[in-house]
Amino acid sequence: MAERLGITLVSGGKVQTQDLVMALVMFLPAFLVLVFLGTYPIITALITAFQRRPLFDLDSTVWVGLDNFTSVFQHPQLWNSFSNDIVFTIASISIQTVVGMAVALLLHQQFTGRNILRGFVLFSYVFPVAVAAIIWRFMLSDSVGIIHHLIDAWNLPIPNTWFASPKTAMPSVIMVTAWKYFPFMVITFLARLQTIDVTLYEAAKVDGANALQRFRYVTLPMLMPVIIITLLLRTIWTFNNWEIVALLTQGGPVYSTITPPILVYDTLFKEFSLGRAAAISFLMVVTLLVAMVFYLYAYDRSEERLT
Amino acid sequence: MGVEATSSQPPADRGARGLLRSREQQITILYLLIAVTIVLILEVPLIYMTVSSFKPGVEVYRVPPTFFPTEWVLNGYQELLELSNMVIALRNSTMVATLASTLGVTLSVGFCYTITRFRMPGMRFFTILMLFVYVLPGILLMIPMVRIWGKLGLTGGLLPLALTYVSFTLPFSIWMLRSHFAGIPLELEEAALVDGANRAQSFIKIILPLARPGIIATFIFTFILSWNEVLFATIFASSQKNVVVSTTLSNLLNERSGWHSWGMINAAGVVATLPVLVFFMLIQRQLVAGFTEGAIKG
Repeated sequence: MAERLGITLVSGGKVQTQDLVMALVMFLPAFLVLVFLGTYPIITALITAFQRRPLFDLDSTVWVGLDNFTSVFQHPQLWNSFSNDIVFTIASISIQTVVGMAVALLLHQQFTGRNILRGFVLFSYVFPVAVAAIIWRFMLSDSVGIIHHLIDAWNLPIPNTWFASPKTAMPSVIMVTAWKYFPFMVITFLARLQTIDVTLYEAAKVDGANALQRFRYVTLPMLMPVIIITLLLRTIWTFNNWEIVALLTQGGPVYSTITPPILVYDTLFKEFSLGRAAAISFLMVVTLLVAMVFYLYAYDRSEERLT
Repeated sequence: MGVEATSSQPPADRGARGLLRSREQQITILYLLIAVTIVLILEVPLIYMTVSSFKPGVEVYRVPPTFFPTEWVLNGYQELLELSNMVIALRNSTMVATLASTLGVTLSVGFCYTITRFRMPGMRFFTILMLFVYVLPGILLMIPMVRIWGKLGLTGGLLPLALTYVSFTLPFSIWMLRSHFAGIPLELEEAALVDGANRAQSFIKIILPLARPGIIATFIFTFILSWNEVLFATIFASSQKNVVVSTTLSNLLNERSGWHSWGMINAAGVVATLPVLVFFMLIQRQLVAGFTEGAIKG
C-alpha cells in the first residue's frame, strides 16, 4: 500500500500499516486546508468576477460576462487607487529597505546592549497595527498632537497638515507604514548577516578592501537572495495591505489615499457587489503577477551582468 | 564587547582626557548612540501613548503639550471600562486567538511530524503551493470566505473568525515548526520503536516533549497574529456582541460609535498591547530563530 503511494520512511525502514494510517491522519487535515486555500479563493474570485451577486442575496447568481469589468473600469477611483497603491508600495518599501539595511548592519556590529536593542526592534514588528494607527493619529492630530505643536512652535519648514490634507495624506501614510514595517527588514537581513562566514571578510581585508568595498563585494552578494525574496514578499503584502490605510485615513481625504484593497472593501460592504469586488481583486492579482515576473526577470538580467 | 576588543591597547592610548579612548571604543560608543536613537524613534511613540493614557482630560488638550502627565489619573481607563465594549472584546479576542492557535498548531504539529519522518511524492509542488498561499491577498480570501460562512449561516461570528485565522496562520506555523521537528534525531524515535513502543506512543512520549519549546513559541506567535488582525475581524466581528480587540480599537479611532476622548483611546491602545508585550517577552528567543528560518507572515 505504502509502496504504491510512493511513501517511504526518511530513516529508510519499512512503512508499517499503522505508520501509514497515523501519517495520513496527521497529514491530511493541514494538507486539505492548504490545498483548499491555495485554489478555492482564486477560482471563486475568478468565477464571481463574471457574475452579478449581491452580498445580501448570495443565492441569486446571474452570469453577466464582462459587465463587472466594464463597470469597474468606469469607476472614477479605479485608476487613482492603483496609481496611489503603486506610489505607496514603492515609496514605503524603498524607505524600509534602505533604513532596514542600515539598521541591520548597525545591529550586526558588536557593542554593549546590542541584544536588548534587537529585542526592541523585533517588538516594533509584533505590536498591533491598530495601536500604531492610534499613536500616529494622536501625535499628528492638529488639535492634540505633540508633533503638530512642536512643528508649529519651532516654525519648522515641514507641511503640518498630515492626514488632513490631500497633499500630505499619502506621504504621511507612507511614513507611518515605513515606521511600522521596517523592523521586518531589519530582522530578516540581520538573520542572514549572521550566517555570513567571517573568514570572507578577513580574506577581503588581506586583499586590501576597504569597508565600502567589503560591503559591495562580500556583504551585498551574500545578502542578495534574501533581499530579493524579502522585497518581493513585502511588496506583495504592502500592495495588498488594507489595514494600515483603513486605520489611518480610510482612503481619504478626497480619495487621496484610496488603494485597491480599500476599494474592494467598499465595493463589498458599501455597494454590496461581490461581483465587482471580485473583478477588482482579480485586477490586483494580475498587476502583482506582472510586477513579479518583471521583477524576477530584471533580477536575472542583473545577475548576468554581474558575472 | 567593545571593552574586550580594546583591552589589548597600550595604556598610553587612553589619552590625556578620559573620554578620548581608542578609536575602536569611540566607534563602539557611536554605534550605541545611533542604535539608542533608533530605538527611541521606534519606542517613544509607544511610551508617549502609554503615559498620555494617564493624563487628565484637560491635560491632553494643553498648549504647549506635555510629554509626561503632571498628574497621573486613571480617567481614560475608567471611561474605557464604562463607555466601550473593551471587556467583551478582550474576552472574545482571547477566545478567538486561543481557539485559532490551538487548532492551527495541532494541524501543523501533525503535518510537520509526517513531512519530517515520511517521504511523499508531490512534496515539491506542495511547498510551492504553500508559498502561494503565503502571499495570497487577504482581500481576495475575503470574497470566498464571506460566501462560505454566509452559506453556513455563520456571518458575523467568532467561530468563522477563528477558523479564518487558522487558515491564514497555518503556512506560517508550519514554517516555524518544521525546523523544530527536523531537528529531532530520527534515532531517538527508532530506539523507542525497537524497544517495542508503537509509533503513536513514541510520538507522544518522545517527539512531543522534545518539540515542546517550538510548539509553545508557535502557539504564542499565532496567538499574537490572530490578536492583531484587523481585516477579517472587521468583517466577522463587528457586532456589539462579537466585537474583538482590534475592531474595538478601530471603532474608537474612527469614531463610528460616537465621540471618544484621546485619554480613552490611548488607554485602549495600552490594554491591547499588554498581552502582546507579555507573550513577546516569553518567546523572544524562539522568534529570532523563527525569523532565521525565513518564515514570517507580514
